[in-house]
Amino acid sequence: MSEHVLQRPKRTLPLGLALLLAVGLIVAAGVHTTANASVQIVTSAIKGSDGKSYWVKNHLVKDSAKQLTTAAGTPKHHEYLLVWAGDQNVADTTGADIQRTPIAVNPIKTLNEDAVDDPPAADFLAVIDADKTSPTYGKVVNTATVGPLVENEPHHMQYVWHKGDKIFAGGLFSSATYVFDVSKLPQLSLSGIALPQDTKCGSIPDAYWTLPDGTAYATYMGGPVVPGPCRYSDGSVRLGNGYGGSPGEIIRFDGAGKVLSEMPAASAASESPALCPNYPAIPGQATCANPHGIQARSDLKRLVTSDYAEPRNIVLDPVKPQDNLLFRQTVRIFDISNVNRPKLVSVSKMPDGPRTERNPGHNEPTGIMETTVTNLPAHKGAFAESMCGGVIYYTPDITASKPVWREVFDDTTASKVLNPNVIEGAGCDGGGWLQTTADDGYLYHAVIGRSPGSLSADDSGVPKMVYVLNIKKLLAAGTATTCSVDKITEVYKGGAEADCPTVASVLPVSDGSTGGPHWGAIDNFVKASNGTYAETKTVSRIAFSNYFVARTGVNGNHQVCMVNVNPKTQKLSIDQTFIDENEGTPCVNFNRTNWPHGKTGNAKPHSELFVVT
Amino acid sequence: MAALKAGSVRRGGGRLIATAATAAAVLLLIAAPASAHEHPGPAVSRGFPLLASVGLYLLVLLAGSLAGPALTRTALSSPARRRGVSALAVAYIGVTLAEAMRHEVATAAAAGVIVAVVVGLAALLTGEAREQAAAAVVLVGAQLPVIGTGAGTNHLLFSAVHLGAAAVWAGGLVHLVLVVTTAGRDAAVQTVRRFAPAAIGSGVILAATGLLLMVVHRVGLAVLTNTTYGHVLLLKTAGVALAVGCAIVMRRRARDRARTWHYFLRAEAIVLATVVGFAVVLTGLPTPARAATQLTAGLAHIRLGDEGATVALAGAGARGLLTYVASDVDAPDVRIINRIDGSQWRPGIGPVATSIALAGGVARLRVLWSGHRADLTVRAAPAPKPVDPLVADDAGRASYSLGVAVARWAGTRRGGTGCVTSPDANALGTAFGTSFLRLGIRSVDVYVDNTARSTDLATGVRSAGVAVHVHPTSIETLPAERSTAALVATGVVTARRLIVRFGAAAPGRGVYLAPWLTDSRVLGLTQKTALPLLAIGSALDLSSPAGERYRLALATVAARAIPSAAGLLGYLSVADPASTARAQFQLFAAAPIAFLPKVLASGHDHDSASAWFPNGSLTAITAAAPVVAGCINP
Repeated sequence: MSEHVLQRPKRTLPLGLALLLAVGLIVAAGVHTTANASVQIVTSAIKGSDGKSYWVKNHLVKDSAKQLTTAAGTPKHHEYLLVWAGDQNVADTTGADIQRTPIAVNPIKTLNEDAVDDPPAADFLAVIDADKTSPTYGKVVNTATVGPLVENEPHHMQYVWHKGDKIFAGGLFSSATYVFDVSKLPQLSLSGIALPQDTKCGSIPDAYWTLPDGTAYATYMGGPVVPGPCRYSDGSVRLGNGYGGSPGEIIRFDGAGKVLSEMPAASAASESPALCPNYPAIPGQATCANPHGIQARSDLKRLVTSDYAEPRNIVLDPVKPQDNLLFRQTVRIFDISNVNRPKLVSVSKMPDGPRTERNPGHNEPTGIMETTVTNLPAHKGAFAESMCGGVIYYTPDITASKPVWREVFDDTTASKVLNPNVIEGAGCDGGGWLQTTADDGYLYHAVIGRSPGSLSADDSGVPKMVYVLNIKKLLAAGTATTCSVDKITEVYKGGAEADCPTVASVLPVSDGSTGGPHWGAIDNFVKASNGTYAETKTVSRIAFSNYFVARTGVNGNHQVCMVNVNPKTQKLSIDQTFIDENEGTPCVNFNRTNWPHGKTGNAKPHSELFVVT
Repeated sequence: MAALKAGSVRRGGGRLIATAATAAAVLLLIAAPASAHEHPGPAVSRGFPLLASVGLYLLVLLAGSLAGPALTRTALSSPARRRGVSALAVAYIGVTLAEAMRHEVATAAAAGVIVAVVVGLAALLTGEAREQAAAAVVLVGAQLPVIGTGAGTNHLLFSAVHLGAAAVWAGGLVHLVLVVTTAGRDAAVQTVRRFAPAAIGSGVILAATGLLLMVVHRVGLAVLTNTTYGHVLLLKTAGVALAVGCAIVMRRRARDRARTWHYFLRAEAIVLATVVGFAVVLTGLPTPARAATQLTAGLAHIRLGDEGATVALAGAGARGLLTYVASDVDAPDVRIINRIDGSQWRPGIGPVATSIALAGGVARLRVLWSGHRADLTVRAAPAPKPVDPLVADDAGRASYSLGVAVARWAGTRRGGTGCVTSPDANALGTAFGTSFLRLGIRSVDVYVDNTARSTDLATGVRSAGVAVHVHPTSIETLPAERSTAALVATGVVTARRLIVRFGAAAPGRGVYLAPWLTDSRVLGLTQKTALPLLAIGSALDLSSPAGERYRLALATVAARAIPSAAGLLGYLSVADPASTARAQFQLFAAAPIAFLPKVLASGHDHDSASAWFPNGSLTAITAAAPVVAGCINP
């Protein structure tokens, strides 16, 4: 054992170098860039009808872009998932959040907090590599930010993208419709924008349905921007109770976002004031016309929309018996023989189901959020679902003058698969995305779920889930379908009739957030051996997003997940290879610090589409 | 330099590394899934930054251990020491990685720390004490970007020196313990003597920087006695005093070669480890309350104990206008006393404009709450001249001043001409009228009070060609003959009363509000009434990014302050005055858009604190109309 006083060192670590390194790191750490230096920025701008400039700014990740484009800079054949997402902005914060914001922080403990969510940040269309064979699979290869409007609350796009289509995307709170050109992905450009002043007879855009000619229909759920009479493109006039009220309208846009027609969703005659309350009442023209979901069958010359709610007034108090009817119970069918003049031909009230809910707002036909049509020429039917009623309806013939709609499935049957001990029905379980497969064999549905204890202390809730139903027998029955969930036992066990849909698979979504899966998209493409893509009717995967609308209090975990689908059994399973590039776990997390467009923090992904080049 | 035998410490080296690596892995596992959940579990709650606290502990020990040989001028070429220091390094790297993954530390800063640790490990392998000491300095230096300047450069400077001094003391002590363990007590006496200057110096620096940090953070008696932070700080101070006592006794006994001196060494080490533990707890507690501080001219901030309630103040010019806002609805009983004239008042909800006495442009206030007291000095911000309709009354001027102060605090300045452009009431009326005609509204009831801006607005609407029926708001009942649209051009209180009175008999073509009614107390009524439309006219783009910046900054420093057009104008006057010259008039619909019934939203706090009004949006519904405007700050 010995002890040594220090001697002059024989070999010296380059102290100066080390200190220089430390200083360099300190400087580097202190620099906050607004956009990553490894991105290429390409801006596309147009003039809106108000004379202002509107733009989309691409932030292409250079490393990825190299792999996704040829040497000449043209896009390679590739598949992407495009996600329309909003910046988590100042208005999404709650009073509690603000109170937790430190004015003068102790940085040792709060560290990087002040670096994220710097306001305001732009909403954006995220371009994610969706080619399973690609080394950048699951990576965000471009974020195309829109401006100058902020707080758009990005909402829906069209349901399916077909080759050559533009993308139509709506802003719920800005009442703006953006049209994007995606022919040069991963880069995209702005083809047009429609502002509220361009769509005076409606407000609050919801969903879009594209037509082969490059145009698109849109549902504007809320009433005219100014209350009173509004004159539509065909010269007809409807009274409305103003922005966010009723009636909504159907708009047809061209590929540059120009309004080709505004057509009323409301009938000229008054609907039942008892069934269709409006606040304030519209004298002599009560209406439930608040169209949300929209799909069309051009071959049948029919357009189907589902009425959801008079959005401005839901906050009043929908629990009151008279106000639960602010959540609509109706589906509208339009004749689109003249594509520019959709003509309302039927308004169908969805039938009440066997559940007797103590809260009338939980009855089956409450809040018909989505609708989806069948696709094959032999089929003429359509489905609709109720967000607050928790069921699915079907009519076998949308060309009928008086379509017959029946309840064919209760979400309770699907939730039973995950929780056999479910003791409450699917009332207000937050059903959203509803989509038939191109071969009409299956029906996909996303359900936000209802938190346990929502209704009472013993409420087991409804799981957050995405499920798929086998609808082959139902469609095979043609117009002679007999399926009808009209007995209380069928709520839990499923429809008793032989042609009723059956559960093919249920994917539980683990998530502790206030929201759940609200939207999804079917991958309608298949890659050929030569690297090109073709549309397919066989579903091998879908994507879903876990976000609703933060400001309503129902948020979500902000993840976008890829789901593998067994083409034979339809069994759903999370794609474990579609991982977040930062966290390494399945699903792309939109809660992140850095984006290609900068350190803007969390984002809210509402809807998505598969797109190929 | 011959190696020393390490005995049991040597045998434990492998276990130490394994334990550290396991701990790091566990922390990584805890951290990794956290961001996948909106509400992480208690173990990783943001309420107590576990990783940062553990990291701080490891940092002090690691930096100190590296510097130990140089501090004590006693080399210890022991594999056990190398293993021990390596274990600390591995654990610290793991914790830093975990922090980076959880976005608790910037990636570049984390990279800097990790590189510094690697430099330290390399120095350790050389066995050269000075190189290891240099590496320790680098390691402490790498904390600078982690600490950052968010709490001011003084905080950065004093924290870094405090941290370094702590490392010197703790590291020297750890090394002493190692020497005693490996070289024996007799041999260690020499080391104690050599370490004495460094130990005394670090103690003095620790005490000095500790006191300076208390001054920087305004940690006064009230904080020490009334907050958890203060209590822990007192415990920590007591621990330091005890450690100093142990150190003095230990050194005296070591000098005298007393047989029991090493007991006091152990006691000092244990007490010091506890002190570092208190420091770790302090980092997890709410920021030490700055009892009262001026953030910028016209804006001050007061923390009211652990409750986190704040009061923001904005002074304005010779009038001595003051607006104050408590951030917490359930804030404790607060009284404010003007120390200049002794007047006192209680804060209310929302902006309150009060004329207060100033002395040389400075307000001297005393805030009392729940038996506590904080004195506050606020230099008044420049006051706008009341030529603009938005700042024609006290509330408007106070809001404007608050906007100016908030912009200065936020440090957002884009320069420009300095001319703040805003239309007068007549020009606004003309723009209103033009917009009405575009919407097909040819007749409007204008509700006025007895102010010039109100009647000027009505005159402007008429000049655009709209039939105007002027109604004084002194009337108790609505006029029998009414137009289909109404323009409310009164103050906030009257406007609220009018809108409620409209009720079911609301004008069928909507209720329109004068720009100075951009106020959530008015806009929010649309949630409670079944109005066909409530729309605000404004020459400021209320849906612009600048508007969002203003609302967030305002909500951050004054959470209960109500955003207003006057406030936005004040904000822009600092942040981007040139933008006001580009402003055009638009109507914005106020719509509380919701999509879910309460059962789905139940249990969730979704009252947005920083929207123009709770859970609502302002959306432009008309194309921009030109409006004549001039400088309001010539």
